[in-house]
Amino acid sequence: MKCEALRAVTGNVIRPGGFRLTERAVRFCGLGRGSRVLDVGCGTGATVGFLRDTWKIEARGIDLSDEFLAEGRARCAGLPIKKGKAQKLEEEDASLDGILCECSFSHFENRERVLEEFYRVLKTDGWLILTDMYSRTEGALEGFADALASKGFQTELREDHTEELKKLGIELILRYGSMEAFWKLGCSQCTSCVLGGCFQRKKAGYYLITARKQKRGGSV
Amino acid sequence: MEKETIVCCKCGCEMKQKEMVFQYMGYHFNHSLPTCPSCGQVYITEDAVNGKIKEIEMLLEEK
Repeated sequence: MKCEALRAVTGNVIRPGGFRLTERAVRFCGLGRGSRVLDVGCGTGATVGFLRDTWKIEARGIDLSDEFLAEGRARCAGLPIKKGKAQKLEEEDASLDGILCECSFSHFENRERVLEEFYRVLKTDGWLILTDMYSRTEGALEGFADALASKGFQTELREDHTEELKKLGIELILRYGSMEAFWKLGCSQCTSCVLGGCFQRKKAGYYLITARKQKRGGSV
Repeated sequence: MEKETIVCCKCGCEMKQKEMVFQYMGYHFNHSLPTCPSCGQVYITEDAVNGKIKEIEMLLEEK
């Protein structure tokens, strides 16, 4: 099973914070029954299932990993998840109320292109929800907001949730005895994400950002 | 190898493993430690102090 050591602690969610930050963002953005939301980097589709079952959101997901997608479909037949790239979405212009990237945005190649694609498929005032790791240097989150603004997104919520990263770290230590033991067992040979590696770095943090697509002259 | 028995120095009772809640820097975590069933005294083993507890302390203090 992919990410077995990490998932022994996180379950199918495979990120810090479980659904807590998902719920925080969904409430803040006012998403609900009938909202059309795409989870980009959905993994096995745990959030897609959660949003559909609990929030009645019309959620779908894409991921690059065949292994994750097959596992998600085996767990829940009919779960709307499929292979797809963040840089080239199949969605029509201005068709989505929200896009979620939970612990996935930092893994994407060509993130400027990804943001342009997100801008294209979101409705005006549609929500971009990002949770991810970052280096807690001064002004880091403000820098993200500036980068989003340059691509047409107005940041509405910007929160540090490093406590979720630390909670996960505690659980990993309790299970494996030390971070080093977890690292050797789980993530040292894998390059598909940087979550395991972030525990090796100083000042690693975790953030939640929600931003709205702003209308621009002549664009969708 | 025989299992080590730890006896409470106050009550003389054999200590039993019990899940304890630790609180540090606003975080909580559980860890099983020998505890006296009579008076509740907890024996924090050297293994725990130098192992998981130290690791967690370093994580939280970002050392």
